[in-house]
Amino acid sequence: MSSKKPTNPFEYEAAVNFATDELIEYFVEDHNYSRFIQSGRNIFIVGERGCGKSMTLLYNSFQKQIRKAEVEKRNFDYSRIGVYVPCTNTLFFKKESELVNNPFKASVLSEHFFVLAIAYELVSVLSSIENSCSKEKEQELKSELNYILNIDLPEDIPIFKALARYFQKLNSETQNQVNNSEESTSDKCVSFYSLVIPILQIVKSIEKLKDTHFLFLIDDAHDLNSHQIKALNSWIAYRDHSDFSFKVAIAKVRKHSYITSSGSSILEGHDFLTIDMEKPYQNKFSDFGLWAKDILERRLEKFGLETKDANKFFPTNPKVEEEMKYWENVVRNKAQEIYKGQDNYAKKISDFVYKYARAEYFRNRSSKANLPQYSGWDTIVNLSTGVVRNLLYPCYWMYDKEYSTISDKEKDSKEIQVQFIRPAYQDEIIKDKSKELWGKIENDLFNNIDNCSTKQATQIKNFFEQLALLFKERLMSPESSEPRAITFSISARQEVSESQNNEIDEWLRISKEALILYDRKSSSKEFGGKETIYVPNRLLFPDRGLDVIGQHSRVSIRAAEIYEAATKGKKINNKEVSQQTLFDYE
Amino acid sequence: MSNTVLITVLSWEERYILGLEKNINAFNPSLVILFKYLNPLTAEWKIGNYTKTQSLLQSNLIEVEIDSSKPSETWFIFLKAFSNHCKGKNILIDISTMTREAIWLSLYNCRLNGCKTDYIYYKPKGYSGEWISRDPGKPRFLYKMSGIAKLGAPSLLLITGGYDIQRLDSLIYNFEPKQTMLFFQNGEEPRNKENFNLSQELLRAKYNIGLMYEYDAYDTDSSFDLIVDKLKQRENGNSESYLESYNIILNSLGAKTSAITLFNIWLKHPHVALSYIPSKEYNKEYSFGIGDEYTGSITF
Repeated sequence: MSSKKPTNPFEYEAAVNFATDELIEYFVEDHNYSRFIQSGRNIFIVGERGCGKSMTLLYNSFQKQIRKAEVEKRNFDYSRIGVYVPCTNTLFFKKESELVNNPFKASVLSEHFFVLAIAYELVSVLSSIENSCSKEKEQELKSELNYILNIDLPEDIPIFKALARYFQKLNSETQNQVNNSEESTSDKCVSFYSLVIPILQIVKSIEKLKDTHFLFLIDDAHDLNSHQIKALNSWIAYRDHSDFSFKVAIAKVRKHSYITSSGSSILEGHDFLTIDMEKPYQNKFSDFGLWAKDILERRLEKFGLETKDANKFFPTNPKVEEEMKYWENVVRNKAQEIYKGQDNYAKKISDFVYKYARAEYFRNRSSKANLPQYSGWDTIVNLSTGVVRNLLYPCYWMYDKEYSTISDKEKDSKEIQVQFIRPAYQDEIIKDKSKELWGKIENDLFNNIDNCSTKQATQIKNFFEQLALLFKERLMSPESSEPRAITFSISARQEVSESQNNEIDEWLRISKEALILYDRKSSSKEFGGKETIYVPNRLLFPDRGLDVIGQHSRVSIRAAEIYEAATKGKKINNKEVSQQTLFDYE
Repeated sequence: MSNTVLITVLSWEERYILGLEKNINAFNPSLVILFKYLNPLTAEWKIGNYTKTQSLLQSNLIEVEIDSSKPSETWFIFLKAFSNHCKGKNILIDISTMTREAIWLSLYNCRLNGCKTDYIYYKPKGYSGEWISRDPGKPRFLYKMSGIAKLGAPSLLLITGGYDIQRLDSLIYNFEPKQTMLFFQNGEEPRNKENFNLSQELLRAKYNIGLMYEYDAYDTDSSFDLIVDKLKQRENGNSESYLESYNIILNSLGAKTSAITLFNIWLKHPHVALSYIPSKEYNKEYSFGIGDEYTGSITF
């Protein structure tokens, strides 16, 4: 792909649209688990759109890693070769297998196309490796391919280019057969074990690749059909993973099946590991906070801007900073009085300040004042709700606004340098984008989300309205013990009927698909099991005057309250809400 | 009585029943195959037109029920209906109120059964200015009209009638194409001009779509030439045309006649894929009356 200089340091293009050099430069390996990808384990990378799954897989592909080695002037290490397999090729949207009345034949056909896509990407990578083998060795490999797989390749074309052509031809022939036969099947189907494993064995006889472990980087695996997912799980269950492993990116919202073709299950820990790309903590000391800072600062540097510190590039409104400090002191003084002479005095003071200082600022703003001002790096990181694309999105528009203002003033200047984004512009963009997101809930859900009716869209809007109202009341109430709790869990599911529970689950699914809600697993204090914590997209909060910087608490809401809020627009009863401190995110 | 079989889909719209009356008078069909979508949300709206259809046709009517949520079942129902009643016959398809899925399944089966095929489209007299349908399902490829996908090739999504931003969103969200090519209805109507300018601006800003053209959806021949011509152009920096280097997905969002154009493109270039977005919610008051008619033949 050709490289073009971006016009904005915060371009948030889909990963596949990045030029190789840009992707290498922009990718940050620290403070996330992306280095796991280079291990020999099978890994599922889970997260919603925009959290960096594709970027992580692409970064680990051979094409990017060899370029990286070249840029860093070092020899490429052939012990790991990443083969990127996107499941967004139109091949994966074909549904003819649904016309096959025999489930076994349907599974064979589905696996065939998936395997061809993998084999094609594998040989495309191998054909790009320079001097991988001599002419004599090539002839030997071609003979082996002919003998073992009955694949007869022309002598005058390099082996892996010839194989790529062969797969392309086989792919076209089988699609033609399927499209034009009554049975919708083909007699030319291949499987992972009949094609990919023999090819890997032949490839390993090449000196340069004899110790290579192939990483099959399967992107957007949620787009695979059920037969293909079962086949993939079966390959993951394959015991000998010395030569290959799978790194599979899946969307969180669509429940992934871990059943294999034989009906057994693959197990986390035993057969695979899971990396959750969405980060529960977004404060500046968290992994995500550090990662986000690295991402932003790397972009500022690569773009050639003089200001490379994210805190300086996105300064906080000084007046807000001053007022925050004032209320922090007020709260600190109050805490010092309350805890005077007690054990753990310092910790108690700091906990008290952490809980109430920001809330006091929000509570003591003039009732006639407009919405609070939102600015500063910490605010932007928290607004992202732990998703990289959400982080870059407002920054992109802020930069554009600041750049436009400067270029209007300095029309003749050739090099326009944005030194920082003025707080007023940060605030304006944050509020605009927040309003837009509410608009999306109101107007777009039923159009954009698969299987969302207008009725459901209205119910979801009602629920989010009531949720924002609840959070606002809690923030403003001096009686709130956890005033900045901006996540929730659902309790007392047994109090509503099965069909009502199903309706609630559908609202949650639609909200997650629309990226207005995220979820995390947490240990439940009551029962010691896992509990789902729901996190609204924090970009929703500024439009309602809420604090985007939350605290480690969740609000437990009864299922019946959620149902009433959504279906009747009924207020969620603040008194029935319980709080649980949450320091146990995973 | 002629040797013509009329294919139509039951609808609540006025132009459905007015079109049926016109078709009966003009073509005197020996048989009418009426496909009926099972949809509890619109069932009541259709009762009036259904009763009139029955009294107009009596014994010349074959009714076939289909369920849009069961595409594989629908496939086999169409296959059976056409092979039982249409083999070697003259077929007239009234596409006015048909879904794209039904239009393409009908055309596909006409080809399969060696039928001489004509289509007719009645514009409504007017539109209420409101939406026509909502609550779209996931976009799907048509069975057997899904093209021949090339391994490792990027996708190009081609859409006729791209004013419907929400549906565009859904298509782009689901197919994640590398390139999108849009064709907007031309014309001097201020509504079209305004829409074209507004949509261009929006789409450039939102998706960075640069490939946008105007066309006449009701002139299927010139539309065909224009679209194929644009697909045969080379992308900057690429030695091959879009048609050669991309996996092409065709989708019709505008006037139904554009579905005919896209089918003709698929006939000529069977490696491209036809796709549609199923809908579950419709607006009863979307259109009123019956207006101009457009007819044509399909050469397989």
